[in-house]
Amino acid sequence: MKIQTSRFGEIEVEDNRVITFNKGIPGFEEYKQYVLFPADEKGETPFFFLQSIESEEVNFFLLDTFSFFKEYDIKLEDIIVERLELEEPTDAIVLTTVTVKGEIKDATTNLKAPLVINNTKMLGIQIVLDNKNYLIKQPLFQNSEKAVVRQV
Amino acid sequence: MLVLGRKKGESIIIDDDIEIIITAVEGETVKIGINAPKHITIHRKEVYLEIQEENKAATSNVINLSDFLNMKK
Repeated sequence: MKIQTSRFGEIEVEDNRVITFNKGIPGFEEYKQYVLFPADEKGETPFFFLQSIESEEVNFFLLDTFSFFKEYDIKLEDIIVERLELEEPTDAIVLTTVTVKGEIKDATTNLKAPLVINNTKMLGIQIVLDNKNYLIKQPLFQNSEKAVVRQV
Repeated sequence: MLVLGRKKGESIIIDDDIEIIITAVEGETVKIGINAPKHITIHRKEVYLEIQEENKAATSNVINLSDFLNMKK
């Protein structure tokens, strides 16, 4: 199917790539269907877009969290595994939203509430982790390997 | 809004299958135990509101994407 988006214009979405968030995403509970694609065509960066099928304006800028924060780990509760119909851990994709207020060096990502997607069953959910170390506004470029690299 | 007085150890039942128990009262802090079916999602409200706000901020980004896209995995 073809969908209209405010950011990317008209895009073609294969039906089997539509991800359903049965409970929506907090703040956007009314939209349940999304499509995920890499932010660059070659998929060389750790960033993705999650575009709503139902609302052309709604898209999230997301980070492939594990590739950026090597020490990040989450434990999925049984109920989440059940809701996502997850059978293999490798079917799960974990992404976190990225926000930028001002300059790119101040970009943050929400480690507290990752989006977890079952890439086989095409089901998604945003969970809230009960881990005080994971911040809603975790700076991307402090204490990360990339920040270190940039200072060299 | 319904307001009920409860003592430590007492509980309330909502809709047959949700139980909320007052487990401790320490000064201004009340500890609450919740027994609910698995499909019920429970959040601390301020955290939930913060996540809603953060999600909204992640959509209305006017990001210079090229800055991000210059970074490799």
